[in-house]
Amino acid sequence: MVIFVGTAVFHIWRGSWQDVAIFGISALLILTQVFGLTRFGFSRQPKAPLWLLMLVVAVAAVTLYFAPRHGVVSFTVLMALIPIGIALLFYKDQKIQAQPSTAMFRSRIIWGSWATGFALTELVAYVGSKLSGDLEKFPTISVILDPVLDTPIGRAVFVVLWLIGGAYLFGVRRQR
Amino acid sequence: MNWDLLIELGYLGFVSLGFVFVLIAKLKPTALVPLDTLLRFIFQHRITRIALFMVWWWLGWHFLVGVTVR
Repeated sequence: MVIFVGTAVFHIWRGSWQDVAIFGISALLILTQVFGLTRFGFSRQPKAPLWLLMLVVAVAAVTLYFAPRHGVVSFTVLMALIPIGIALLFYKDQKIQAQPSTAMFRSRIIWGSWATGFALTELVAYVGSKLSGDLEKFPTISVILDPVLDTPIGRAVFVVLWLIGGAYLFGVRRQR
Repeated sequence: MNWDLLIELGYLGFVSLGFVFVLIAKLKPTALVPLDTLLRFIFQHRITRIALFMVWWWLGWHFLVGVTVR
């Protein structure tokens, strides 16, 4: 939750109000869980048939590929993915949960450090670009990827990887 | 100092390191658990499920809907 609040504050500084809203709402949602408002939700993990997940991914991929970036159609597709996410993930936690093994504990620390290091590199680039006013000397990931996403191949690769990643994380992998 | 090179090497380094971790987990799961197992474990908690979903969703939003570069 601290990360989401911190990210929301960072986006206030950035002046990116859409991102403030996204991370602020996420932090509030997480806060409701921290304070025990976990009794709402499905009693079991919902399972969607694989063909349905693949259909959603295919329709979203084609739409996002052909729709202009930053447009109403892309906005609508992204908004439509929220209820799907809720349907797949908003079930209650099991009362008895597995305890982490040593390898699991180690893996969480290592992947957590990896994500933190990645985020800090991006932060150094962002702060550097703001202080120097030079986006090329301090390139953020957005600066590097933005022109790539304006090419047909770049956009196709991003859309496919992003949607398949989401389907794997929140749909397909969780069906097992 | 050549900051742009340093930062780009940083991104590339972290991406490569991620692949190395995945490989280590495949070859020696007693040292690092496979990503699938790690995800199954952390997804036991609804807080983690919400957090990961929001991060994934925001990535799509940021690059496809929002204004990426100011």
